[in-house]
Amino acid sequence: MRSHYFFYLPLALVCVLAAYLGFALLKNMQPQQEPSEMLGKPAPDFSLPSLSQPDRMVSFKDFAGKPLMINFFASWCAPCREEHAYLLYLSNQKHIPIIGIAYKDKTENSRAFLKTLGNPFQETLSDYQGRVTINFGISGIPETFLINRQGKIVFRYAGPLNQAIIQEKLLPLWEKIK
Amino acid sequence: MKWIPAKTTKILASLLLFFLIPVLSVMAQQAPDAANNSLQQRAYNLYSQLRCPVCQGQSLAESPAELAGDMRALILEQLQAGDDEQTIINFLKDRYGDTILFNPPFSGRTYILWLLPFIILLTGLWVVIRRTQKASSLPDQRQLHE
Repeated sequence: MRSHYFFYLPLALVCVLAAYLGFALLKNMQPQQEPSEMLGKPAPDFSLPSLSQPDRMVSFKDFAGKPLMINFFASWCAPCREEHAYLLYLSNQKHIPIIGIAYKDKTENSRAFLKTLGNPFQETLSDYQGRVTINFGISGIPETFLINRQGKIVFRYAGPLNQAIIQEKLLPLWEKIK
Repeated sequence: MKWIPAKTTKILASLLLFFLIPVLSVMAQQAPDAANNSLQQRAYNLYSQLRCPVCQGQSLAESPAELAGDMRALILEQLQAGDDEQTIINFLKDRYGDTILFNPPFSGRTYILWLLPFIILLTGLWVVIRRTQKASSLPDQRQLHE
């Protein structure tokens, strides 16, 4: 009788693997939602032109010693419109300084986007080449980071922010680092 | 050159120039092209080894995503700047983790990928061997009837 159990062991292993993979698919475990490699690392330095004054370069060092949030967005990105009300809430109600980085977006389009929907950003920069976006290990727009006083990345969220992620993760972390 | 008449020297020099100039010009044209081709080839080899972070199933070489295009441009620039392949792979691994590689290294997060096929194969072999041994140790049915 025992030998029957051994006979089914490889089948059981395959079933366990299939169940695990099926569970991962059902839970919508997107690779983008995996913990970022950048977590705990110093935020990459950058120097980008300001959206309001393209001749003025703004560097990450300009914010040294201050906790802040960085949001990568674009006017052509539909999920960015979806999360925009949350960014306004975080900026206006929770007084979080947010740096907006427009990814591969025409200056006039970014400006029109912020004029129409409201501007939650303390500083808006333009990453037309996409180099800073790669340096932050970004896999899609929008993406949001929290940076502590030491300049380290303590939070990253890939995709549009939502009520749950803001209340459960982002705000408690902000309270700790602000 | 006293032993060669001046006229002959001129003719020889003209002939040399006549044949040498086209050869040199072709060589001058081909040298950067060859270097450029090998650089493009090295870049393409890298693109093929790296996964597009946007279209997960595609390599950087085949992905039409804008981010993949930016990454290709960055890789080419880094190669042109003299960086070797491993430096570029490490640069991207530092930002995107092992998932950027199509061939992830054996680690705590990927061991199940590498080991599971062998575990299933070995378990299967072990079951087959056990059953064969058991079958051979059983007395022959005909002998029992006799």
